[in-house]
Amino acid sequence: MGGLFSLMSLARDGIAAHSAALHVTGQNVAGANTPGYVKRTATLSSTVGGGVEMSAVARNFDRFTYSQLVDQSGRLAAATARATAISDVEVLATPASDHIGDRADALFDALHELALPPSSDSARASVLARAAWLAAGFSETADGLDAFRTELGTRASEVVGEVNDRLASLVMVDEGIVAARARGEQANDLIDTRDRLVKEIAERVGARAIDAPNGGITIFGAGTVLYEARKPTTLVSSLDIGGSLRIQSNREGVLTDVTKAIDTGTLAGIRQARDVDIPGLLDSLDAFAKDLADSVNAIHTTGFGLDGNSGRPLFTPSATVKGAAHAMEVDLSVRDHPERVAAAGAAADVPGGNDIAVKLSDLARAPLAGTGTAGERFAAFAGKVGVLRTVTRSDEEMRKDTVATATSLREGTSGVSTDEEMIQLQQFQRGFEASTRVLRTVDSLFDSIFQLVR
Amino acid sequence: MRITDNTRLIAILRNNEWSATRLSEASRHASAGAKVLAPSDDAAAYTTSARRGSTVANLSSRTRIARSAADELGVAERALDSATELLAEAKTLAIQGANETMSPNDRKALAMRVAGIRDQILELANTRGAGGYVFGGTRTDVPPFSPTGAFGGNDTETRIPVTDGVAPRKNVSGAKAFTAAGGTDVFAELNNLANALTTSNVTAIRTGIDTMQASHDQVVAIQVDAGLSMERLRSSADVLEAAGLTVAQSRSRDIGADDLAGMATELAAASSSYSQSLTVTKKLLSLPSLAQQG
Repeated sequence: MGGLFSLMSLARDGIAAHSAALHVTGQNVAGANTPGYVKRTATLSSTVGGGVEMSAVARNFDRFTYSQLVDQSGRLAAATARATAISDVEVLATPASDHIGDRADALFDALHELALPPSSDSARASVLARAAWLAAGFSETADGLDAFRTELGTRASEVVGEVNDRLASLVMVDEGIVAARARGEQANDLIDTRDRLVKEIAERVGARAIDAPNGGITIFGAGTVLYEARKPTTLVSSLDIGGSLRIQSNREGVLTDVTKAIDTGTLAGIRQARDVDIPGLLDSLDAFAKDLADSVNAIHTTGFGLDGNSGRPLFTPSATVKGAAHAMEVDLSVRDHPERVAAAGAAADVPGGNDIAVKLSDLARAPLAGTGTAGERFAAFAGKVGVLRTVTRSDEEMRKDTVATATSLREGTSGVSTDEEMIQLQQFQRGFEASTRVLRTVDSLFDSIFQLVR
Repeated sequence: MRITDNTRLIAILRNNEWSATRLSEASRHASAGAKVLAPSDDAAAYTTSARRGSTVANLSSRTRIARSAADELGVAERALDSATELLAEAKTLAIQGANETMSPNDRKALAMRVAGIRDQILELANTRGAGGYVFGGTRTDVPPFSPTGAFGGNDTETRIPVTDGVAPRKNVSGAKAFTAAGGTDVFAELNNLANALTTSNVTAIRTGIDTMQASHDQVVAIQVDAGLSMERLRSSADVLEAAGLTVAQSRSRDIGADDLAGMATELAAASSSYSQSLTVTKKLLSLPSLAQQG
């Protein structure tokens, strides 16, 4: 009888073990498409009594492929943030038509027209209208770039908030894992969640996780310790006195500037676009605006309007290069006064003298105060935008490929294959069915014995 | 390497994205008729195209202005042509008046006609074009000649630069055409001739024959100058127009607008690639799985 009871016990263990293994398989199938889910493998092992038990559920986790994925995801996020920003900049700075180059050409065309009948009211009004249009082109482009910078600053604050939220969420998850580990339990679901959080942090600010002996983790990122021993660092976003983005880490009340240490993640891409790329373009635009305005003014101030007066600039002079594009406008002394547009080189030549109008129109082919004609300066500016967009787009495409490769490698070790799970399902199902068959056989044997006794 | 469902899916999505991007770019280029629409399409080509676009705009502007200036000179040239005809008529009248058989009354009739010619030439000398009075130098806002024939304008030249180093005069010297600045004061000589005819002063009338010839030659000389300037402007405009067309064609090449066949081919290839990608995706997604075996 003892043998039958033992056999019954073995069948019971088999049913329990295969049932648990089936649960693991079901879990794998359910989590196949869940981001961050790591395939589990049920480990069946023999018990002392010769039975079977599910001794462990292992996570098919590979630190190397996971770290590669986290690292490459951070780099892709940086490349995408920068490429997206520069894509918007290209549309703003070099629209398909009516861009600054077109507007400069239109002004020179109006000045050509003025040279023919210098006394013409309509030709003079046209010069002022085109000058205002060109000035608006510069100021609107500069304003647009500034607005992008503001938007990117806001986005950076949001990203910092997202990082802080995830660091805060990490505390509970990490505590749960450490506690489970202390109890000798596995906490695979919590580890999945923690890995996902680490990846999300890396995508925003760059991060690298190091396992602690107690099951917890330490996260390094932004040149500092972002999380350690259930204590998260808080990131703070602000602007420095130059208007550039400043990210500080607040660890136990100590503020440290970590801005320059952020070289991957969305924040790095935003910072590169906001504080390096766009200011570089703004500098070019400012220099172009100032050189163009100065060149035009240098000639215009020597000319005479129909009222016989001289010394008036066409554009409001800018004292500094910085902000010249933003501030560009038709000077108040000539605004709404077409008769004050200078076309003649001497008061005695008014109204038919066209020396100044000719000199102004010749600027279309002459180097400005800096270097290059207006057309060449716009072409150089547009070229700069184009190269920047091309480089950032190529970088993003390359990062997408590396992330796809890293994701595939990670899938190779930690991903779920439905077909594999189906095989496992059948394998464990058969084990389960066989165990129930043993149980039924034991039950039948017991019946036979009971009938003999009767 | 172990291949899971998601491994295949990642590759599919990446290829689909690439094919969709390629098709989108090819459609954009084909619909716009150019391969370079933005700086990022080809920064070097866009830069060259922008520079050439500016040159085309400048050449187009200069062409238009040169033609307008030539038209304006045409107005002055036609006025001078009419003036030379009138001066030739005045000379003929002087020759008739110098005939000693002519009666004083007949000479008075000739004098009235000479006075009329003077008024007609005065009107021609105050001709207005699109830019104001054409014979007043830079004083284009007031009639350069008073009713007495006194000149109130100036002889300042205005020029229109058409190409490097070429800047034909765009106005005509009224001073040199009609005043003593050109050698003969046309209106004063017409007045003298009219007076000589009125007073039957044959000697003065004979002098008038010479002065009318001198006036005629003076106006003709200025007319020839105007004609030459006009021709220079027109021929310069033709050259500029041709140069503009050449640069515009180069610009079209820069941005790939001359390769419609290439764009159509790329669109067809991109479309085929996208269809192929979708077909492969469909096949991969419908691969048999153990999960479907029941």
